[in-house]
Amino acid sequence: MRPIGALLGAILLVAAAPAARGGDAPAGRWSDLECMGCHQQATPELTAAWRAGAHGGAAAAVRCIACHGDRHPGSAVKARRAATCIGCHGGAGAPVARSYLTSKHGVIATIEGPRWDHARPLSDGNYRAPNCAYCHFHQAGHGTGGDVADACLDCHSSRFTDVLSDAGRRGMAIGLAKVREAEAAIAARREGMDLSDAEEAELAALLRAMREGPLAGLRLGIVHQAPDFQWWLGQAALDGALLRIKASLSRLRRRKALGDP
Amino acid sequence: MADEAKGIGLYGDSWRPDPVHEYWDPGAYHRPERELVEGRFAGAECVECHQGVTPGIVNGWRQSRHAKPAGAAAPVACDGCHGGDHQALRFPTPADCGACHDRQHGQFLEERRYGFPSHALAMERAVDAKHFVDKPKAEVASCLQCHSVATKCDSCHTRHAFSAAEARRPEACITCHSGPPHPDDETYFASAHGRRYLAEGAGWDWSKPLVKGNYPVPTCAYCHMREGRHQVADKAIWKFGIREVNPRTAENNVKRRRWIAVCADCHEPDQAKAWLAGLDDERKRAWAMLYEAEAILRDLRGDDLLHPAPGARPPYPLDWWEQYWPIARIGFYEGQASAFYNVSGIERDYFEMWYFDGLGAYKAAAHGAPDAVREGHDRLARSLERVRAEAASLRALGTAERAAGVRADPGPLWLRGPYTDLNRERN
Repeated sequence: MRPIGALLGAILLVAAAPAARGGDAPAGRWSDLECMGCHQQATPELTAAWRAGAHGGAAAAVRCIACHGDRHPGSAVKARRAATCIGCHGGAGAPVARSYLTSKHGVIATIEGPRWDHARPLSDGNYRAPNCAYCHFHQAGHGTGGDVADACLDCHSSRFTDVLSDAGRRGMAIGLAKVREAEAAIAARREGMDLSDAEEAELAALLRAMREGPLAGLRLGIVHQAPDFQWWLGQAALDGALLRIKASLSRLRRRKALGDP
Repeated sequence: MADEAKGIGLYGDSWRPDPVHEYWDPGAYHRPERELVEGRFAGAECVECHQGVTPGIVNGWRQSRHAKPAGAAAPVACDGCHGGDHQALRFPTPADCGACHDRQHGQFLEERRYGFPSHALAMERAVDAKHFVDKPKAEVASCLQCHSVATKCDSCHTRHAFSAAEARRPEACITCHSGPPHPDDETYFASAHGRRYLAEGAGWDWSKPLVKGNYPVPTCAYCHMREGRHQVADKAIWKFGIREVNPRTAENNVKRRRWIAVCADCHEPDQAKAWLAGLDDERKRAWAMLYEAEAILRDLRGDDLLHPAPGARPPYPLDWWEQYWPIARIGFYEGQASAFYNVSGIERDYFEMWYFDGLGAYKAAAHGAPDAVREGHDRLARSLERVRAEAASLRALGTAERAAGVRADPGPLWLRGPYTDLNRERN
């Protein structure tokens, strides 16, 4: 695939070259292939970072126009708006968006965002609160999954961010300890019991739900600083998930001790 | 946090604060800078340096009335609130803000006399809760993030713009007033008031005070902080919703008249009376279901059918005497919700029915979201059915075990594990 991809890229570069030489980019409309044709030359660091990240590396890659639209004027502005990200990332009700939108950052962005000039770069505290791209694509970075800590420092002291992220790590470790306790309880009980496939599946489903629900919620609550996700949808929900797994194990054991199949 | 740092509140001797607490309760825990910059600075010097170091907060301040006060007043610069000595910088407390904003601070302090629920008493409510004391502090650090509404003013007027207009918007409240026990955001946004706000609110002039005629529909602060008064407690009838109340006591009748006066900015008083009666009716129906579930649990406790029995569960470290006299707490417990962990499955089911379904329906009724009231009562009914079914299963198991002469020993399952050990040893 790689040599063919390179060859295709080269052909595209040649095909797109007139636009690249034309100074200010013409308005478009552009296709993703045409964007790449120019931008591999014009901004190679951006296209490389995109390729290395989850958007560029995904099986079905999220390409330029998904975030930037297919015309030049306003392309950066469109990609900087939270609504653009949220549209793909599950909508406003999805935990990843809701944890941000209920955080103080998200609240400020909701209230003041419509008046912000999104033509300003994602740096230097140009926005009173960060939206998705300010942190995740800080300083126009095009990778994903990187360290967002630099963005915090545009407004917060390093002491504050250090203390906050240490607290977050400790909180996350406690949440993980609850999941480990559930795993250990299931493993220990399985030894002495002959579990049916359906019973095994029920326990596995409870454990999966604990990880995908409250453990994931806790993480989002910590990284987005959304207190309700940290507590009622995080730690306190993990408490509930853990004791329900224990209740299931107790019930199974009691039934089996009575000779139930 | 320095080793000598101590907790505060009723049980302050029993816990040590997490380092992050200094940001949620600076009056109690803030440690001045001891490392980086030395010297005394005036506002313009602060701004000159911080424009490069932390430009976001300087930009925020530049938008504020602190930077551009009305009339001939001098700007309130960094050193006005934080002090000028970089080795002894303060995080402003409500009292610091009150040095200039005396009226608002006075109203905020006055709120304390109405009791819970209250913004001014929120920090006490958090640190005096036994589960806060009992659990590892890093686990409960997020509690203080919301309960810090008592200990700093930027919960509602975020730094460094400190805008009154921001706090008038309903979103300013939702960071804390959201989620299962207090879905104030969802229920308000689902109401006729909230739907109109969502459709049109972004275009309204939020510089106007919260008084009659200024807004087409009320927001959170319009009703709960009438005419911009900085207290939310003087009309609380059903309060947090965790106990049934008599909504017609003499005191509550005074509060009812206050509510009717708020509604009367737009509505007929008789209509407002009917809405309040509707809320009372909703609460009565909810509590009927909750009491039924509670009775089922009390019966199970009386017949020793809760599993594990109270003595076979991890103790709450603060209640050490319970190892000698174990008891399962059913329902309301010392004004808080401690019975959400270290309990059996059916007790947690009841907790969620009471605390999530019940309070969700309450907020829907109070905010005028009839669909959400119906959903809340459907959830209450489903939870009650679940409690009934689980109780029947526990009874059947217990009866069969007794008939067979089998004693169900929960063993170490409920008493040991990475988290349970940590909670017992490192709270």
